[in-house]
Amino acid sequence: MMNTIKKIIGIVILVLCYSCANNEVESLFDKNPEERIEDAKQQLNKILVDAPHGWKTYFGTSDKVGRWLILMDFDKDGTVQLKCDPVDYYYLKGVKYDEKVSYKINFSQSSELVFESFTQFSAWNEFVVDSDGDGYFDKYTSPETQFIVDKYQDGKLYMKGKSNMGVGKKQAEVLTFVFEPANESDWIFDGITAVKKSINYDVAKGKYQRLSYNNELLENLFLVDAESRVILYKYMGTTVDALSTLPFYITNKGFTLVEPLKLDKVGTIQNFEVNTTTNTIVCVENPQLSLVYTDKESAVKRTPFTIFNKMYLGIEVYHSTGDPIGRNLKKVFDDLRPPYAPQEQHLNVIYFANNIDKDMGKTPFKYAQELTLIYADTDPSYSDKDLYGANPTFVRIPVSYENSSNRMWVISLVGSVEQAFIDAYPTKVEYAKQKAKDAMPMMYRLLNENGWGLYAQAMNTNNPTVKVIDEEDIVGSFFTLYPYTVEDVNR
Amino acid sequence: MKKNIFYALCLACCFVSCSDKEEVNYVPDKVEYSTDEIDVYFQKNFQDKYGCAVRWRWEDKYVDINYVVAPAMRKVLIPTGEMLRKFWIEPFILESKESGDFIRKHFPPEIVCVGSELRNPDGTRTLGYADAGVRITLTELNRFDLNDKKWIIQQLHTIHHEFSHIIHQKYNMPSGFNKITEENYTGQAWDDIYTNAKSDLISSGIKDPTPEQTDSLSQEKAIMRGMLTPYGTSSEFEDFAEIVSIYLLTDPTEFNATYLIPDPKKPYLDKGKVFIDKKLVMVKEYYWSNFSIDLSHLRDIIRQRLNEIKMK
Repeated sequence: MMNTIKKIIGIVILVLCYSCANNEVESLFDKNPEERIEDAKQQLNKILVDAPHGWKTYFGTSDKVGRWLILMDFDKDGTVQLKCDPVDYYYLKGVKYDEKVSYKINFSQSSELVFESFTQFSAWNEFVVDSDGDGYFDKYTSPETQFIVDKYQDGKLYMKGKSNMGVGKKQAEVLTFVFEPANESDWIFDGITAVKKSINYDVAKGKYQRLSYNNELLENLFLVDAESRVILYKYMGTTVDALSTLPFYITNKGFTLVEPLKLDKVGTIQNFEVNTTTNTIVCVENPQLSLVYTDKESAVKRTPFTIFNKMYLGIEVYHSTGDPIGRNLKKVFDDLRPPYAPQEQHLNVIYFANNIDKDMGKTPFKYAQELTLIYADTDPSYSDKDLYGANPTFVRIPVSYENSSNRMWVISLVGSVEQAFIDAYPTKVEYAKQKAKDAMPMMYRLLNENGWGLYAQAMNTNNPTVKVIDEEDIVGSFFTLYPYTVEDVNR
Repeated sequence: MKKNIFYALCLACCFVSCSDKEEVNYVPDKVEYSTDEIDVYFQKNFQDKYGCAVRWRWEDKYVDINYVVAPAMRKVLIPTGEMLRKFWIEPFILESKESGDFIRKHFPPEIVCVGSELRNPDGTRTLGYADAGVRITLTELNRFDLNDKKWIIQQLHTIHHEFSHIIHQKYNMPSGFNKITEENYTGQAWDDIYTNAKSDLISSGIKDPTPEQTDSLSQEKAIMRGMLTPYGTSSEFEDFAEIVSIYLLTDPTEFNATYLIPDPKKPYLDKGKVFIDKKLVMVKEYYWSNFSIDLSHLRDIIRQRLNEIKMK
């Protein structure tokens, strides 16, 4: 009996102990995880919405080009009005999406800002850059859709682009963008337009852009490409000239290098202030330093256009509608062929090439550097001149090449255009002279006007097109630059 | 007696330990509908009618992180919805009452809208795809252009192809379909057809075949196997989906000439065309006997609508 009672008492005590035990663990936080996540999201949203004139960031996802201003005005209703400095790197008209889109705040390991539809940040999906400086535009830049908050410090948000954190990305490749509160004046872009015009390399102002320190020219080149927002900086390396591209962004008052630059005897520089009235460009950190034009050569030279050693750059014709036609030359040329001149050949292709031993007609180049006009028909029944087959006419004009600061081809005429045509049509001198005369306006523009738009760009349909206004046969059509490999040519 | 006391105590203890202190009643979450015009459109035209959630707001979980992508532009979203209605939903409704009921019953629960192509790190592209028959992902919507034949056919092909997967996954394949060309499926090696075609062209003296030449020869190689496309050779399921989608979207004359009618200039395709014909008959019978859907009539409706827009 006693044993039974003891057992019962023991069980009762155990059960009571269990019932009364406090199993709850004291929380380190006042709120549960869901509440804390919600608080973090609300906090970021409040930061974004509270900025009276919104936020600004200078955006670009490649160090091969610069940065462009994007303004964002967040509303508590979940929408954000965007305004963008157009990205003119690719398109003459510029790319901009000044739209109102919806946004949301997410949270995974940190708060994230997500733009829920296409924005200017996304437009970078289509841009291609020359990733290794070999002249081939070979790599797409990354678009961005969502930003992870890295830190909020001194009133600025440091945001990591989430697309840059994908599989296989190195830590060094993860880009951090600084979102800072915008001013009312930031929303007016007139200053940027004026500064851009003022700083962009213009051969009419002088052959070179160089840095001047205490009124003495430094032995380097500092050529501003305001379209791509990069400076081609060429300086004396330890043994040879060194070239680097310095991305920058344009503000209403001047421009700023994305990364500071250290100059011997001058110090570290980053910001330049531009007086658009007097066209003076002065370094903010060191006002003794300024950017000037001069015809004086520096110790370092302009960049030879070595791309021609690696490939051909031809120009193909686009329809006057602008429809891309790829490499289907035959149909295009047939369509373009003027019915009123069945016996005449017309200009098919323009090539720029260094002296490599083959070209489309498997004929050696005549000059070390030449501009080749190919006159042919795609249907040999017209004139037995078949571009891909029998004996097209090659007009070989001797030229020299350089590339300018703004990536334009500086092509200088070395010999006579008329003589080149006579050489091409030796049995028809008068015909050749007339042909040369017809081609001269185009040649003149091609060789003398820097603004003709001959950019060395990418291998895709984003290639800029150039409308032809001088060549009678194909007036109204478009040329586009197209890189050819040797294999293409042989084909 | 002692036992009774013991059990009574245990029972009492259980109540002490396990009883709920508070009574909890389930309160459903209050749903707040978005007033965004795009949400309103998709809610009205897809969610309410077909129980389909159209995911247009960017969510990175819907797309593999390895792809480089851009979200859809707002301006293309409602037109995309209208395109789906005009060339996919409404033709089913117009075909017959049974067909209309069919699409309502089997509508995919989720459609994801992506603005760009899905670009792989190496620069290659992936077109639209479907996940297990429940989610269809449409890509390249930012290039929306109803006059662009290539674009619209690509979009509609994705939709009809994936929708046919949903059907056979639910009702199984037509009986005997997989037996007709059982030996000719290539599995994961379907892509080799392109590689082999290119090699063949080079061997024949074409030094650098164009993509069009390679595609053309690859298609012939697929037809020789009794399938419409190289991708269709990967399995009987893809074969089925390719037959349905390409049949519905291709001009009848072109379809017959390409896949069914013997070409004296290409007698090597004849055997494959016979296989395709057999399978097409089987697929049509499958849709008709199981769902009362006349695929020919459905094709006529879609083609008529396609012809009304000026595709280039």
